[in-house]
Amino acid sequence: MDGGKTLGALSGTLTTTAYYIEGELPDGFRDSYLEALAKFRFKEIDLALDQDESMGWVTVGDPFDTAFELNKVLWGSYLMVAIRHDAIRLPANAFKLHLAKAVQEYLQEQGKERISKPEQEEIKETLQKQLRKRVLPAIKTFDLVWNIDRHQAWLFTQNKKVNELFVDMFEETFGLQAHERNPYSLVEHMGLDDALFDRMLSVEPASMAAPPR
Amino acid sequence: MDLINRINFTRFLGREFLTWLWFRSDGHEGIFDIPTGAVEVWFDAKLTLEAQGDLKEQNVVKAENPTEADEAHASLLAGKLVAEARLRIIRDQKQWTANVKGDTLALSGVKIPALLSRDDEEQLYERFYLMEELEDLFNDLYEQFIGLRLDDDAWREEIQAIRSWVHQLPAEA
Repeated sequence: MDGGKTLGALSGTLTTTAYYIEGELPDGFRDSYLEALAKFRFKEIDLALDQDESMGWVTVGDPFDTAFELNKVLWGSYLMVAIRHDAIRLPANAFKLHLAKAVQEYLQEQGKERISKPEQEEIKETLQKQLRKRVLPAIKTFDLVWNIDRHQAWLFTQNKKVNELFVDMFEETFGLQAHERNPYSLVEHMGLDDALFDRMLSVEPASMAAPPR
Repeated sequence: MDLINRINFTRFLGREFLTWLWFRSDGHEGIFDIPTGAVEVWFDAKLTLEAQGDLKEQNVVKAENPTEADEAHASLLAGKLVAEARLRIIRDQKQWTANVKGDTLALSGVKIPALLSRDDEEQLYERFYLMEELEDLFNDLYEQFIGLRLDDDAWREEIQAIRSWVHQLPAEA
């Protein structure tokens, strides 16, 4: 996931990927969605499980708050939550140096001159586990604003990977599909008749620079 | 055709749309008539034109009025279309600026008009309403383009007008 400043829903310029939300909300969605958000809330990276990243829901404006309540999540017809993504990334150069040292020590211990590929992999994995404990995870949050009445939502990032993960996470949590708005889906939502819609699927790119007749 | 293919097959419409916006804005002093009334569309600051096909050759024009630059005109004449633009959209004394990518028509770096509400919560709603208003304006413009684009007779006339325009713009030799 790329670096840089994360732009949010609450202030500053707005950078969004817009979605159409397909499907009907379940009865009593207010309660069931709070439960669903709690179920898929952000959980810290579990080093014991060899995780180096973790992703889940938090409240907007506070990446450490996963106690979802209606007054923190629902604003009129807007449902607002945020995705928190944590990742532990070992600095590549430093890791390379530590690995070289560990390999050297291993060879000395074993009285060997060369190391096999499986041995090197094992040392690498052990070292990764050790060093991950010493690195603070990078935290990123991405706000989601979903206008329930309008059946549309914004995710406040255009990062491709985050958006792909979001689509799955959204469906898993809310049981509804999020379809990205693009030149195709915009037309799909114009309510064109079938003939015109089919016409769109057969239209060829125009040559705008061809000599005029 | 499955959904992914449909999306990819029609992606070029986004770039054609942005290029058409330029053509119409240029010929009508920025003014477009959409069902909810008149709206002004201007091109600001930075304009990216890209060749079609696999080569992806790009020209990025940075200028106060990038659509007036000879370089931009020459790119059009060479068959490039608008891949990304910074648009200024004006309606009822409200002004938005936004970057738009042709491939996705996604909006980024959106500056909304100044907020009038004082209360924090009201300001938040106003922020979202203004963003939705921009999306609605933008969708109406795209719908106008699609209406023309899918009407064979209307498009035949439009594309001739666009070609004449492209060939009349002052461009570098």
